[in-house]
Amino acid sequence: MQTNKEEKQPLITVLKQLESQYDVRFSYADANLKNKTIVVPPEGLSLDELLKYLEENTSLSFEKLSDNSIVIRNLIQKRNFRTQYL
Amino acid sequence: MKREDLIKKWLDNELNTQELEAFKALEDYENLVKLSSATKRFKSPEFNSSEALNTVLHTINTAKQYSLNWLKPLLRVAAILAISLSIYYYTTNLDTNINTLAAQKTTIELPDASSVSLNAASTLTFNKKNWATIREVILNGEAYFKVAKGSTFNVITSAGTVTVLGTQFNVKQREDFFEVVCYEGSVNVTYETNTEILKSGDSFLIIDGKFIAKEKETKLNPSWINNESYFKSMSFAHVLHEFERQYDVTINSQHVDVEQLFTGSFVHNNKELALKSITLPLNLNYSIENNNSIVLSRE
Repeated sequence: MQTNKEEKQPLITVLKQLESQYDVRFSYADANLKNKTIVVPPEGLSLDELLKYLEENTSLSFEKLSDNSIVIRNLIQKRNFRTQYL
Repeated sequence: MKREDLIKKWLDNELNTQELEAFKALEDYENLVKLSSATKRFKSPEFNSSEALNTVLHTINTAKQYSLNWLKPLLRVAAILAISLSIYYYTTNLDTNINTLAAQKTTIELPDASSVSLNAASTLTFNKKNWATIREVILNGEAYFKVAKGSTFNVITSAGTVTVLGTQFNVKQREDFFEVVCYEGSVNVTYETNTEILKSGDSFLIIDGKFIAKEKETKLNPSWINNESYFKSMSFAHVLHEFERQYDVTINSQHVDVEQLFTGSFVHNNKELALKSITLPLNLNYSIENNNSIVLSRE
């Protein structure tokens, strides 16, 4: 990557690169990741280290469902924002 | 005693003296006696069954001899020929129809070396006989094509037509959704009056009549070929419909916001895992009822 490594990048873009790098799939609600940025994780991390890094640098949880399927959830339950249906 | 009863008893010889008196007192007594003696002369005709049998057998045997007639077998042969010819003509001109049910996929070889993989709940129709002159298939649903080089190859859907020469591409037409992704070579997509040329990695996507721009496709083939459905910023409703097709289930999502966008994937061979990967990111709970009905609720 040509850009400065310390510079923050859109989380969604970073995840897309990580998907092919680590051969995993991230599943998430677009709304939870919108406008979030992150510094590209250092190279050479194991998958578990990578997930830990991602959790520490976002307010999100990264949960491994299987060897290559990772679910991203909002740590802060958005109860207050939920409007009732019907 | 009534008149009828008296006559009955008289015929059966069961009248006692008293009744006989009463009977004789009937005004038509004389006529009755006449009638009775007259009817005694009727007799059923004699019937010789063995003689009748002989006659029938004789008739059957003589009829057999007549069937040596040459016309009948000839007509039979002609009829069989006519039927088989018409069946042959009918079947060779008939369109070939391939269907997949929910939770089913299949791969078909077309008359040339082209192949089509058909995703769940899809239909493909083509004509083998005209294949040399018209390479054309009608698609309802989703399919991944590997088209052998040659004359023009058309994929006709209710939403639009895809024209290629020889290439690999995926066509998905579902409800208000029409998507073409080119994985190799180039593809012409005709939608309404517009025609667009896709190169390798390009996509064409229309949702609800609106064109949606998509990033370059980096994968070499569609994810569903590898038993996984992948979505990039798709409405949750779209994801749920695909889930229903892949697992042959119905999903009740009435208490859930299905307009929100989902990115991610679910596998086709593990229902629980697949459900988790689409519900957890949206903070949803699920419950499976009767094995093929799933109810979603908010956490």
